[in-house]
Amino acid sequence: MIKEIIKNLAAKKPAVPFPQGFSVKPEEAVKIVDFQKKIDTIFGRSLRIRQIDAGSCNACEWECTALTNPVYDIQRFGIDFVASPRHADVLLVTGPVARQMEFALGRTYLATPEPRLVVACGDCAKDGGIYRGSYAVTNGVANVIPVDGYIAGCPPSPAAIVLGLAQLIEKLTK
Amino acid sequence: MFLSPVSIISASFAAVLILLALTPFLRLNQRLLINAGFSLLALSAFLAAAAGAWTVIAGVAHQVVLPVGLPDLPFHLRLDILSGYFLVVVGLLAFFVSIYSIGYVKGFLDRRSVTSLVVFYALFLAGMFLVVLADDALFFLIAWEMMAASSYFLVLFEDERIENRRAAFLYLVVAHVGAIAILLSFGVMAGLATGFTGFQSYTFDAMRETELPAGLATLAFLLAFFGFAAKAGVIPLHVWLPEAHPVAPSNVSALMSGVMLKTAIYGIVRVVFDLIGDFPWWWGALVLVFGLISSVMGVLYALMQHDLKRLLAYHSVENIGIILIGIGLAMIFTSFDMPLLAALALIAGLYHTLNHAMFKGLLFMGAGAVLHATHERNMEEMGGLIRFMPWTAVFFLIGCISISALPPFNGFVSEWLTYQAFLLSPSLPNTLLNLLIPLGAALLALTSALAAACFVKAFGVTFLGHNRGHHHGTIHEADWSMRIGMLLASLTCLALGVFPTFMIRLMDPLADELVGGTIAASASGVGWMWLTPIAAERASYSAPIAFLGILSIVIITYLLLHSRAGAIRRVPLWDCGFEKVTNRMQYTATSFAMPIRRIFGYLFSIKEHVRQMPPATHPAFPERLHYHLRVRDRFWMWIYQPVVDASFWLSRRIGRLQQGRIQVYLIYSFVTILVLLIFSR
Amino acid sequence: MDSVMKKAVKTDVRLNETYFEVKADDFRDVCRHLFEDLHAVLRVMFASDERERDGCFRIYTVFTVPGTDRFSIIVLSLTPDEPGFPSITSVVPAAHWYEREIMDMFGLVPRGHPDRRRLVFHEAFPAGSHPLRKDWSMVESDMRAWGEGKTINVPHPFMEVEGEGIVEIPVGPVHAGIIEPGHFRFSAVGETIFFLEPRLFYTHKGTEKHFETLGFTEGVKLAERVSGTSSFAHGAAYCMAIERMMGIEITEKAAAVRTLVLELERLYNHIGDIGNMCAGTALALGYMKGAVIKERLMQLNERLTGSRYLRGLNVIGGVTRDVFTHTDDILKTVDHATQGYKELMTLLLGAVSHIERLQHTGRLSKDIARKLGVTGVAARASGLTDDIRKSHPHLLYDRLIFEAHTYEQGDVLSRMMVRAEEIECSISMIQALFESSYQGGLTVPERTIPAYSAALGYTETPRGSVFYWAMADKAGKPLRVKLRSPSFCNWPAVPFAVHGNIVPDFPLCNKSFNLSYSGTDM
Repeated sequence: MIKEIIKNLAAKKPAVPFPQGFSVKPEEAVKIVDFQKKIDTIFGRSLRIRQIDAGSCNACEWECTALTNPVYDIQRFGIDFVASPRHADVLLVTGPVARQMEFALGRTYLATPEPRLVVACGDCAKDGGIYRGSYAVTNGVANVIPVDGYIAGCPPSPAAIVLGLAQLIEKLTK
Repeated sequence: MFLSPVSIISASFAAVLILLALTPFLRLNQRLLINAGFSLLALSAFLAAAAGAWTVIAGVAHQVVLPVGLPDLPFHLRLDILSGYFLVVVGLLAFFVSIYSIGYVKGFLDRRSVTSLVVFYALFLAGMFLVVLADDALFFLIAWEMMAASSYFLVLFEDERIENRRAAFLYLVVAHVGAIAILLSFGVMAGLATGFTGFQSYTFDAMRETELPAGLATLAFLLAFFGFAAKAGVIPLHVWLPEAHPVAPSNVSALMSGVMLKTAIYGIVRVVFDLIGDFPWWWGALVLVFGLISSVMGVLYALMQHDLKRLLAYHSVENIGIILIGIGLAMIFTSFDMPLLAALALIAGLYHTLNHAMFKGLLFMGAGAVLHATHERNMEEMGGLIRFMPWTAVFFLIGCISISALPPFNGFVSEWLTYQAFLLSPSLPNTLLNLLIPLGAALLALTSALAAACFVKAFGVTFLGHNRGHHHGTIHEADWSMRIGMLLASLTCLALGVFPTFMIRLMDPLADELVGGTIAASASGVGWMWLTPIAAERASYSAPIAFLGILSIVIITYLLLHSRAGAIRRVPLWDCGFEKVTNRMQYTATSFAMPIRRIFGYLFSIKEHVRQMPPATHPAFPERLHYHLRVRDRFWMWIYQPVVDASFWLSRRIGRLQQGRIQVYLIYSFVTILVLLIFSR
Repeated sequence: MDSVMKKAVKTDVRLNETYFEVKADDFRDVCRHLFEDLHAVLRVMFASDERERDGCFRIYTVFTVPGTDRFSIIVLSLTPDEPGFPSITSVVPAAHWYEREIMDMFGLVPRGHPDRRRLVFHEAFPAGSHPLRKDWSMVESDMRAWGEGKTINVPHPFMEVEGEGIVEIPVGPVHAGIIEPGHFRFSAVGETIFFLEPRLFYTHKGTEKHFETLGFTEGVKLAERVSGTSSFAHGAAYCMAIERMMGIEITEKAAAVRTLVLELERLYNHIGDIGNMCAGTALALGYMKGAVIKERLMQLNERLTGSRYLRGLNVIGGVTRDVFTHTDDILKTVDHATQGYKELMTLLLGAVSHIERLQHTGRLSKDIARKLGVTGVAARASGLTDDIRKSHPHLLYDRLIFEAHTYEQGDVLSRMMVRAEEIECSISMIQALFESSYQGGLTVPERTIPAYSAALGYTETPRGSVFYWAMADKAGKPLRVKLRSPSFCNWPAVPFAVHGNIVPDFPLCNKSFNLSYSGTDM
């Protein structure tokens, strides 16, 4: 471990490149930097996300987890995931809302103190996705709790999730 | 003057006698018996405490020779500063408990007659006062026996259950083993004075004057220490304590734990500092070691319990250990001619005696109130009682805070003084002691921490959360007399914690008389608000400021939180979205103690397993699972079981003498007469 | 085998599947003989509503006899007036969840099953309602009540451990991290867990019924979205079942692509899992290193297939892209990943605090693993050699020389080491696949599916073996699609690994199994 630390401090490691297609023009980059200030405006401090899996296949969850890896690193924006909905500002819901998760999703929503936002992440959360029409799903998060924004994709890449959150905050602070 | 300490104490005994005389007439109306009886006893206790306090303040000793007693051996009584202090200890708690008893004993009315309880309680109280006042060996032992016998009957009050009878019997056996040792010790001291020829030097005065040679003095000390330790509940002679204290009615447990154990401390202090006087350092080290062992093991045992009263009983073992630590240190410092430190240690020990009486009495009164309301001693069946018994909860909490040695209450002051006695000791001429003293300080710290953990468990599991039990009968708050008793004890705890310098000033003459040093001057050297045992630069504590600080922070926080209407919202618990939360889903006492069980488990014999019942068709599909935990005291197996087995073996051997045939017995008589004729002149 | 064949009323052989139809009285004996005497492994057990065909329900029990590449499928036909079938759980414990699922979905009662509670549906689902029956329907009010979750139609009692001092700790559905939902009921004393009972099926989406609605071609997309991290393997197994039903064989090139991408999927999963286990021991450095390597591999996935989870590559009859044209990209990225993996393993195996947590924690005994039919990494870590790639070679696995990696201890460290060895194995397989060239196009044309034809599709996902079984109706539409992901087999074994451990080690045990709730819940 000590060798590792010394190596990290001393050597220059090649950065892991961002995926193709995720390159931001400087003009757009300025808007995203404003993101931080916008978050401060609504929430007074950094943004806390509680992610809820309401029956997804787990791909969306892994994309959310990838947000905290050193490549995307959303913590540098002041965004982080929290364990309890009582600490959360945003509920990031994935999955077509399986009926047996409806109750838990509702309870989580009620446990989140205001101000709160609900973001439906993924195609399944938008309208049921490939599961639309199955007897055991509610065809979208909006049928269970009020939704403030959607992020499309199956699954949406981590970059898309960050952009989606940025656009939502942008819209709300207009 | 008509009014003097002696007359007050006589009035106290008179009250007891009046009660005993009235009992046969009152016993038909049990309610009246309880009200009148305990009021009289409360008065008696109050008078005794007043007499004791007067004596301590005045600093004058009074001696009385009673006209009763054996032929040529009348009873001597002496009311000096040490006796007076212990009269205050006994009398004050007895006063609170007697008021409490008025309400508590009424709870027994529907099941049995309480006459025996009242009578033996009176005798018990009288016995304890007399032990502290006795001035000769004979009267001391008579009073001791009166105390032991009456408490035996009190423990046996609810005698329909076999475990109660067994516990009482065990208590009786250990008490008498101790009494024999004390008797032998007095015998050694008395006999030496007259060269073992006559009985005249049975008075304590005579014993004080004799110079005891080292060997016999040691013998006397060891016997006395063994005897008093058996009564005090020092490990390894403690086994009767956790059996007897829980089964007795709670007011009796409060007295037994609070003050009866202190009479043993009184005995040790009297014998060592007063009657023997001059001793080598290793006596103090012995007392210190036993004190340390008792305190650490006592609190560990207490942590394993989930019976509320057993837990409190084991804590008495721990606190007696702490008192013995103080006394042991005083003995060590005296043997090295350090009167100032000896005074500090002795005052720490004796202050803790008073404090322990107060908070242990308070805790037992609280436990009694809980038992009275729920008929349940097992903590695992309780929970959420703070909603039904808010007053009891607050008083119990005060007791918990005091016993955990947290400011601003009294436990903190006496334990702090004990620590100071450890930490301020200079390097002593003996290397063993120089190792023992820092070790002792560390063990004392361990004890305090574990005690705090134990009381978090006791208070939390009993009063907080939700009811874990299966029966949900009506649980009601304790009635007014029980509350008043507990309130008075709590206020005393607070007062003793916030005004330590006054107490030390009062106790100073005591230290002066016993070890020849005083600390009151240095203790309040910077004014009455600051407690500075030796010097202000070394250590200081301001109890009133601490108290006011805590109080103000609490009030400010409360006001801040409750100032805006609607600032606090009550919502259901976050339960991960599940909602069907049951009362099994909260921490239990056994679970709380589990990490400590894992670390210190090797000191006990612990058996823990989960069994599948019935031994199932397939381990993958259990029908019923049963969890079983048993924690046992190793001292049973190491000391008691072998002693019990040996005594049975011996009795079986000797039993062979009982042939059952009259011819053999006639031969025994004949042989005895021959022997007597030959060998006596 | 002879005794089985003697008892069979009817025998049918298709490819490597042999269907033995037996009578109800012989059912249990036959299964017992296979499990105990021949040491066969129960792969999947399910029911099918074939009343439109010949008026019967059918129960299919798929066994693999070790050492042969054959599936022995015991079939039991039930007429509608027989409401139940003899339960084989007492002789084949691995069947316990399958039988309860059959009871919930079809209403066929397993007689003699030790646990009569519902498996799939929670308390609010109406009693007597069985969705996979062809004539099933549900009224709107029942549907809403089911979602609201407040009424209790069929209670689900949890086992309570008797004895004083037991604390029940209920955890979830909504767990503290970014993880799927499930409920765990611990019976613990302090920190030591004495009993654990999981309750899953919160993400039940009605997938099997949905296959019947979507049709076979769209079904590929649904199969890919059963369990996100094994999308490609599920898709490959599903396509294999449909292709076997149609009677077509994919080209060598398509088989090579499928094999390569299966190994790529295995690679990113295993590296991610090893990194994830470090999160369970709070070794943030290891966690992040593993996450970076995984990110590289997932970006490779996106470059190759357009999807980070390798979706959209499988179709019935082959694959949509030729991954072999990206030789340099793949080899360079895998090289980078190998280097990163080696650094990670050096770090982890040298971190004593990490290894201390992993050793002797979460031990799953070989006996329980065999009895409960555990599959995949968990089985191999407990000493069972269970690798579908080896026992039933498919695609190009018969050309690659490798062994199933097993460890004996069955603890968390073994599961990590099995993954480590499989990573090295996958890397060498990928490199070996690039050494040859392959004939044929990407797809072969589909054929019409014969009426009432059925076939098994299978492959090895990173977690374990996945099985699909499909049967078509007379119009060539899906009559029944049964999917069994490896997590379905492994979840019942998790409590046995956890008993006796402390509560803080539970997330670590969970991460070492890394089971998919969505795959289990279907």
